[in-house]
Amino acid sequence: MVDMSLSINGRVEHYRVTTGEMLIDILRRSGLTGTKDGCRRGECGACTVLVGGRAVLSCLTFAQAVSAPVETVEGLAGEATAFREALADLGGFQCGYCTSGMVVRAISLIREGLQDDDGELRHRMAGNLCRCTGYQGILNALRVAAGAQEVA
Amino acid sequence: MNLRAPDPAITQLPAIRHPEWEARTTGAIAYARDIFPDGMLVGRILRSPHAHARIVAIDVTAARRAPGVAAVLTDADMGGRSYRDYGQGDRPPLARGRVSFFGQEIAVVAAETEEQADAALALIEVTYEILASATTLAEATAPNAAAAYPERAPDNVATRADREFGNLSAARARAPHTARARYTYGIQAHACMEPQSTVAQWHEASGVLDIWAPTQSPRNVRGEIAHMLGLEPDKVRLHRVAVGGDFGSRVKASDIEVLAGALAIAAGRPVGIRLSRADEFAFNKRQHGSEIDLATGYDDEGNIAWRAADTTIENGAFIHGGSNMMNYASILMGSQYRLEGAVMRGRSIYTNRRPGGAFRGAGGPQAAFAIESQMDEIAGQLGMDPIDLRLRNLNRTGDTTITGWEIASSHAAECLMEVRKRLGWDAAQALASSGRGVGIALAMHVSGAIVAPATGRAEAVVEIGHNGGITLFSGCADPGTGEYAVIAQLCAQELGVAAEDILVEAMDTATTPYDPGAGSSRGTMITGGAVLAASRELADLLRGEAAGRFGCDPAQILLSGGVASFGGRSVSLGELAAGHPDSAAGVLRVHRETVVETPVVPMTHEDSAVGNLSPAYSFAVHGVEVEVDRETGAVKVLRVVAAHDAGTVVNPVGADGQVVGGVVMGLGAALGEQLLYLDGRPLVTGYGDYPMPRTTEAPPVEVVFVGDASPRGPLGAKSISEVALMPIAAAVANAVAHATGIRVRSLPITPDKIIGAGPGPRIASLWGRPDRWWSAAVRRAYPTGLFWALDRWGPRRGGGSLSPNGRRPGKIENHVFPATSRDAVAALLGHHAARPAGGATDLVVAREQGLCPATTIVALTSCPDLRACAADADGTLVIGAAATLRETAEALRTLGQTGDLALAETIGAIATPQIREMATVAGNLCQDKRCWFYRNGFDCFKRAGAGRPCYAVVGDHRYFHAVLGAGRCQAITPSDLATTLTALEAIVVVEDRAGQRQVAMGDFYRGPGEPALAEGEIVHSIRIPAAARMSSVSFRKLTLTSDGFAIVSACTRLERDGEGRIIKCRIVLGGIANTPFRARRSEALVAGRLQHGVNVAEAANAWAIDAHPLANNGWKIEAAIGVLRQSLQAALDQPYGPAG
Repeated sequence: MVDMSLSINGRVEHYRVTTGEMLIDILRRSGLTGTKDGCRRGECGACTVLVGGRAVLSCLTFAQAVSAPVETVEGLAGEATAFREALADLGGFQCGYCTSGMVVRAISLIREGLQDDDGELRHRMAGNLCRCTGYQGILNALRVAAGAQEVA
Repeated sequence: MNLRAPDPAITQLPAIRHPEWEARTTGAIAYARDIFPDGMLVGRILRSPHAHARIVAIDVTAARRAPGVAAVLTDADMGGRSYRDYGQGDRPPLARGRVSFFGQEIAVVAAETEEQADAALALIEVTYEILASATTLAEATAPNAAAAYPERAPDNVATRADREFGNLSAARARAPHTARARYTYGIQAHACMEPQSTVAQWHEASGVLDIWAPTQSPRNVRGEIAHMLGLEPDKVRLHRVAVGGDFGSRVKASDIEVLAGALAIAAGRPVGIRLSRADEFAFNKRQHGSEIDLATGYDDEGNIAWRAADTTIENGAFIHGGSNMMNYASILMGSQYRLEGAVMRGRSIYTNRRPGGAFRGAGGPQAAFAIESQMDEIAGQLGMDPIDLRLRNLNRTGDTTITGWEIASSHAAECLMEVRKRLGWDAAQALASSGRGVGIALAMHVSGAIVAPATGRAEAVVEIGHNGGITLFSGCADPGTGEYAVIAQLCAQELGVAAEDILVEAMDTATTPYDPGAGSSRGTMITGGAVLAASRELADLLRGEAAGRFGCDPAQILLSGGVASFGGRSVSLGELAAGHPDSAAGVLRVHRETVVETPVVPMTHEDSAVGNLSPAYSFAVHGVEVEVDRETGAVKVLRVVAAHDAGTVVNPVGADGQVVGGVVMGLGAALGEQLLYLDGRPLVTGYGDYPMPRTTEAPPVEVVFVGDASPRGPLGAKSISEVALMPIAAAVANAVAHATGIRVRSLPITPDKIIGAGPGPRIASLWGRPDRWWSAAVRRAYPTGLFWALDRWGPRRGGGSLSPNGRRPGKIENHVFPATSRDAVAALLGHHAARPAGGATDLVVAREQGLCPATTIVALTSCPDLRACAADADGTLVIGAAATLRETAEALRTLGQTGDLALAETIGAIATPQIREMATVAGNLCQDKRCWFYRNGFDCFKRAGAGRPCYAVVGDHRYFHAVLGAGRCQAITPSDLATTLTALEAIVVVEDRAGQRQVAMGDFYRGPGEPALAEGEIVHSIRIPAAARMSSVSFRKLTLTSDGFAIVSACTRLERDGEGRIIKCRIVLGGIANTPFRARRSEALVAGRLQHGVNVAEAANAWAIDAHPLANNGWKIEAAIGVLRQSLQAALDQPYGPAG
């Protein structure tokens, strides 16, 4: 057991962390269940969070290795309002299980500045799997939220 | 159903947001996985390590006494019941005297922690007597096959159907031609994003069992739990939770709901069972396997007269949805076009494999693939346009099929014409055999198959309070189908309010009325029908009340905007409700049950199944444009046009989403998705080996709805969600045939099936290659008993990894964060079982797979001296070992030399953005091999010692195994960086206790994914010489998805002088040998030549003479030649000067 302080969604708190414990487990047992465990192998992106502003997989991140601030879907929902509304209007979610990861990843792309090129956008979202939507509504919502032209 | 005829002018209702959109996009909504009752125990499952064995004895005494254990159950504790499923009753809750597939549930444990539960599982002693098994359709249908389920089917035929429709002999007499072929469909995984989970809590005092579990059919699952546990159905309460996908996998109970319930009752505490993703792929339901032998009789004008089909379904160890699928596929093949006669035979077969379950479309996608592929083949024979052939044979509105289906409305012809126009079909015909092509296919589907009274009946409650609040109660669930939006929309339409103003209470079996659940696309038709009827009745009550107040006829009352109005006067709905004589406590409530008007048509294998199966039939035509790389076999779908006749579109956002999602799921089946097994053991246990489409594979899909309101169905709506999956695979196969002339009848259309159609490369005879004799002899001996002997008797080092329950990795005791590389080396040497970690993206996974028993992790990313990335004074580029892939690619792009850019491009082709953010350069080089036998617990030579076999020799090795030079292990080195860095003649700087040493990249591996590093050694940095950085470099890779590991890859590097003479050439192939392979024979045909004097094809082919492929991966040689040719050509095409 290690005591460490973590900044999660802007709040710095102390956490008791087991050696080898993953960030996703800290988040979920702290009540932040919006971060989803879809595969725990880093293959699906449902657990994507921002650490130091960069989109990483909380299922493969050792909690002890985290020193930068963590942002999860709960903390980003406000900033993501335009994207989330566009998801609802354009069919960007169905079952919703991948959506948290999509929201987090989208915010990291919107902050970085979105490319207009469709192929590039698809490549940059390729780490987030969705079984329901076929991605079209998600990508269109991202373009809308980033103020880019909708291409469909 | 007493519904007024829909208004044909209304074909689409306004778009609304899903009632749960806010909760589903903020992470606020709870799935079963997010439910944690106080005191919840962990439930874990002991699974069978054998495909077929008699259980001689089970001893759970020690497990019951183990620390933290609250309950241990075997079948002996389960009351002897079996699941009802589709009425077969062949599935016990836990193995009953016999295990009949690998991974079958034998016992369950509830304990305080996961570790304690797993420790208890390890204490359960099971004695087996191994029985002969039949794990595939081919094995189970062979003469003298072992019986997979001897008590039920000595010949493995679980169910058999033989049906004749129409007048077959007359039909045969008028059809001079017959097309005949076998069509097969790869086994898809539902791959719901939420892995299956159940939480159960027992209330002793009330005798109520609370269940939280994902399903699209709450009553079904509740009923099964109650039946299995001997409880009254109303004593089982299935709560409302968010459902993270279903696609048929959760329409009937899986294996864990009942087990969680039984454990909760036994332990008197809440219990949660949560499958992992690997469990989900390996041990949860899947699609059934299928083969369809289809024959079609037709005449010179293209009139289809008859069809005959033999449909064979692989059930797995229990029938589950297999027989259902066989029946529906058979009947659909007799219904989709106008026929005069048909004979439809079918069998569902038991095998010793994880059973399948219902899957979106229930045999429809498989039937559509067969019919629609064959329609194009017939068109080809007749020299007829495929669309014209379909138009000629379509069912039209008013037709009754020979199977008894009454086509009350069909706009299939309009679908065809829309796709023809939007795809640019007529102009695209000129593309034939150009590598680009177009294809279309059609499908029809039920809107709810009414096979039993329960499937055609639903209830709904609508109530309105004195303040105007409206609550709609339905027992349905919404796993992403948008059903909550659909029912809110229907209710809102009738009451003249906004859909957003209706509170939807759904799913909870304690608070909602009966609903049959979604299935066979009945949601809108049946549940929606009940909601519409209840809402309409409530609207009529409100109109009546208003008419009394206004002194007018109720029909004159307009309900709109939450008020009832007439002649300039209006009154709020709330006031009307409170004032209505039937209201209670100010609430006016309507509870309606509706039953569809069509008679029930039973569809078990014993029924003729003739009759009108559904109130309405939907139609869809999908058109695709594809591009096929004839050199590598890669198929890319450029775009899709999907035209649907779904009647009135009730929920436009959801309808569009169902179509796009269905198309993309169908594209997965068409081009990559398949669950593979060896002797019933799964090879695919993660998304990494399951190429379902990512954003990069999903094409733009243009959706168009045609037609108008159907005379049957709520507001004229028909089904969407399953038919959306059905035509696309055949459309792709037809487009591939158009583009290449190659007809693939077996899905998925992976590159091997395109390349394999060619003559194959020239390989040197083994006679002249004594270095290959030993390998060749061993490979030949494998199928004759050597493999069997090694598998059965070969000694295991460590042992036990064959268990499907996995070996839990030991705890990580120390996580060290050194400040320098020196400290890192010291930490590695100072701890027992210490391993260095970069991004740990492979380490964490490998640990779960039992491949990395380290108890100390030494982080390298904390060492600044391992993260630098800069050029030396002499132009040598030094990349720190612990620099992340993303950082490195950015630095390379800034440095900007041609070689730097090629390396950046190589990095861009590795995994996903998130992985590149975390993974390091050295971590990529040092990642372990990805062989799916090795990774999935097969006790192979590499995993368990010298006496063990290589499973790849006999198992599926088409994609990820070597074709050259492999000895005992056929695995390949997965790192793409290794391929390019070898071509760049990079130097690996290794640090150890003594200091640093340099290893040429070409000497870095001693085996597949096995770096030449000793204990306590780490990679410090990679050095790329200046000359290599300034040369022309091109990397190419063949994968099934953009994040996939290379099936084959090639990197070419050229140094040229000012005249274009090639001074130096390095060509390295990945994915073809154990380690990155230098194609020296190819290099020799390039080096020294002038730019324009290089025979690219000859050079690309030259290395292949040394190949020694396994039985089924020879196609990779051809693909590697193609990838190499493209890489060489691209390098040649780069501009050159004195230095490049």
